[in-house]
Amino acid sequence: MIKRTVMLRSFFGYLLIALSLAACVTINIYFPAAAAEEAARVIVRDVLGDEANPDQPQKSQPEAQQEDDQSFYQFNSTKLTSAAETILNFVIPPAHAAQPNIDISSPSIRKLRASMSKRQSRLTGFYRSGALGFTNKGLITIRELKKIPLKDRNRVKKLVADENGDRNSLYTEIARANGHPEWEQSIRDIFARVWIEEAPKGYWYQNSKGKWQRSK
Amino acid sequence: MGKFQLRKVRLKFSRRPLRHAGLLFKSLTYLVLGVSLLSISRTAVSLSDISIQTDKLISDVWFAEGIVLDLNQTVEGLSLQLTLSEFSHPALPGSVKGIEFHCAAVQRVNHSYYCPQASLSIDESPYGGQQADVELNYIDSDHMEIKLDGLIIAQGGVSLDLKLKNSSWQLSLNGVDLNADELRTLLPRDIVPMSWDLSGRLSIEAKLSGTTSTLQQAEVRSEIKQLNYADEEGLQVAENGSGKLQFQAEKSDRRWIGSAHLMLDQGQYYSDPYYIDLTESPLYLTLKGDWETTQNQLHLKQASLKWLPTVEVQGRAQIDLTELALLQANIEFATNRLDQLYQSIIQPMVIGSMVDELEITGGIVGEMELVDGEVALIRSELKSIDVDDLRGVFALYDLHGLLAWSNRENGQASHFNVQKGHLYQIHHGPVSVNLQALPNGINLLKPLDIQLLGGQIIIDRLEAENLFYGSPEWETGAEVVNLSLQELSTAFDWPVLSGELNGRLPRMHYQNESLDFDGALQVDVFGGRIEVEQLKIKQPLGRVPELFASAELKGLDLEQITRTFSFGHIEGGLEGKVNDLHLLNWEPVAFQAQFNSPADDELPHRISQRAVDNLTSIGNGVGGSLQNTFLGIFKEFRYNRIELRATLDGNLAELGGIDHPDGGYYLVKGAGLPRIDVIARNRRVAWKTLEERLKNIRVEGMEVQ
Repeated sequence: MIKRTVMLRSFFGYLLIALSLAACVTINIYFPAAAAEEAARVIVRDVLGDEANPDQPQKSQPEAQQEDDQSFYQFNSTKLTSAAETILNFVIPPAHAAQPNIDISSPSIRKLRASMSKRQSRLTGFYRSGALGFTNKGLITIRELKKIPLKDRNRVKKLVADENGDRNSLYTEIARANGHPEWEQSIRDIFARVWIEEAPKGYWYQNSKGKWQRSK
Repeated sequence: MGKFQLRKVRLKFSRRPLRHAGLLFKSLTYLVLGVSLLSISRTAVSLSDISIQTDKLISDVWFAEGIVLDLNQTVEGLSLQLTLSEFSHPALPGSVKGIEFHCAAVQRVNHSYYCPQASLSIDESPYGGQQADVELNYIDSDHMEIKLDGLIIAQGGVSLDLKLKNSSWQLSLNGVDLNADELRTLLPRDIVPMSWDLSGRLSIEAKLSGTTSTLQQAEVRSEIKQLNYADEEGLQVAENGSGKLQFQAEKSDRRWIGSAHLMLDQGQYYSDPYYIDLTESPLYLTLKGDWETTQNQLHLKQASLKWLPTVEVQGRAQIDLTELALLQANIEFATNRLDQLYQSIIQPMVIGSMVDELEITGGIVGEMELVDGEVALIRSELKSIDVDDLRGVFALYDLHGLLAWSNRENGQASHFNVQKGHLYQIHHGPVSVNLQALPNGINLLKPLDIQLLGGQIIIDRLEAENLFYGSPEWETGAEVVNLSLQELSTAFDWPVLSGELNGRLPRMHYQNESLDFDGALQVDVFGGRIEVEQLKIKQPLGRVPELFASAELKGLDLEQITRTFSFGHIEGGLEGKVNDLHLLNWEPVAFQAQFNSPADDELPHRISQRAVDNLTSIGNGVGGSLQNTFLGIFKEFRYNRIELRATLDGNLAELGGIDHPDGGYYLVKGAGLPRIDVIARNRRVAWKTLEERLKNIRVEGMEVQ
């Protein structure tokens, strides 16, 4: 009886493996959202410096990894049992070995980060006064011109133009440095969210509907 | 003492509509005096006291009700008291209530009536309650004079003097310390919108005159202090402003002819995106011209703006006031303080572009024509202009010349000379430019000869399109002659190179922020030649410039190379290729390179111990190992062939050389005795690591950057 059970289990095991292998597994590489978010958070915290929102919890690595795995791979065979998944993962180890990662160390990205960090101290007061705010597109904008002294207005306009130029270039460069220029919009979307999440208390930001809110 | 009481008397006056405040007083005066004198004429002989009451008096334009007129004969003379419960007129922003006019003694001189000390009391009006002294002189029905003093309007004191004679009138009005915010409520709404924050103290002297209902002449002097205003969005703002405005105008047929002088001597003003601070230097604006009332067009025949001792603008303009559109203007300008002009006018317009961070000094004198709000012609003399890009990208010094451009005519010739300048770290000498300005581009009229790096670049043609609107595009051809590599390497703080850079670039084309080169650059260096082809630069002045190129190296002498870089002595020839080179922000991110000894190399092949060590350190990161072996006693070795292949793709460099049977690869394949081979095993190395290894090669005080 035991032997039969073992045989049955072996039979189903082989069957599952055969089914799994015959199931025409397609691995679609999707945008590595969790890795991109981690990279974005590193950059945003670096730029905001001590101002960055300390209350914002950073996702734990396993959680981030789990989310990443889900978004990075997709199997078109349906309803695979967990056992089969385990077998499949065993059969195709390189798929997991290639951990998704976002490179933010290219010279151009380093230069842009340095430029933004250097500019931050000149923007801080205007963020705090509500003159400037984070948009829901990953940029900054003048939300209340009246809060900027007359003599500073063109200087602040230039700071905003420069900051947005750097941010736009940063999103483009991260996508390009990782070999996927088509990721630019996804990276921008993640940055837009992370800037807002990391915004220090008192900073203003645009919610998804474009309405201005103050960070608490 | 008899007493008349007229109740519910309804009188109707038929008059043409009155449009001016002066005539409002005239109406009122006629009302008062007409009624009273009518009464006097009927009763003076037999009655000492008269009281007339009527509910309403209505004309085509004004309306009064609750009218009571009391006339009493006293010892001093005839006293007059008129009360109206309400009076309204289209010229008033609201009705006037509770009016009491009292003259203690009406004096009769010949046929005139004179009241030197009357009083006027108003309970409620658009200008608030009022108590005023009145002097009234009724000479005859066509000639009278009224003076009012002590009126309080917009928190300020107001007096006026009205003279009416036949069909003409004169009104002198003085207002002192009027509150601008309250005054605004008394003005037409479109002058200063109610949504604006406004404060300030205004004093005004006005002399107005006219005939019947028409204003013919106006002369106004006003002074404002502590002026602050701001619209809702902060696009139009003044802070702590003060100034004086004078204007005079006279009506002639269907137009007004006049002039205005404005002087702003304090404060900061912002009219998006322009900002001026007048704390140190006042601004003077003078306008002379006429206003065509039928077409509602303003013809400024002479306009003059002076700001600072050095900014001067004069011109003429035609403006459609209905559409608030500039139809045509001719402007002459002159300044020798371009720095101020740049900061106030030019820089705000170019924020976000490559020219928004300049330091400009010098002067310009010129003229400009605008048609339908757009610039149609510019001619400007450029005088000793220095331009420094604060980002350090470029500079031009001692720029002189004439700049001419028209949107109507082709072939406006411009010429200017630059004494010196730089692009990045490359400095150039005098440049003389002759070009033809087209409506939306330029053509070079003479080849451009730029002296730099000990040689020259000759630009034989330049055709630029879409420079002023659209996506800029230009094409040029250039010849590079004898540029010194020594000067080039010094400029970029590289190890000092010797040799020359030459080349013919028959076509350089810039479009969509990309600069493509046809042809090749030849760099005669290290006894051989490097040919650079397929050169392309994207966003050359942008945040992250990209360069693409391929290069071929022929007949280079390793002895010269290693002498230059102090890498360690190597003798022999070198050739190679660098394909698909991609620099991002001037740093390599991709290339496929191969460098090797030529197959038919006739030069002796020798390599020093130090060069072997340095090559070894590049290969595995550890150098100096040779000294620890018996080979350390040899300073030089013979070699058969040197070969290095490197492919960079992002962060990873793949290295190779002459394949070795056991899987590694020779970087140096030795020859003779003692024989030394440099064999590398690792084929893949992180680019950062390789960079570090290169940086760690320190020889003779030089650090490889």
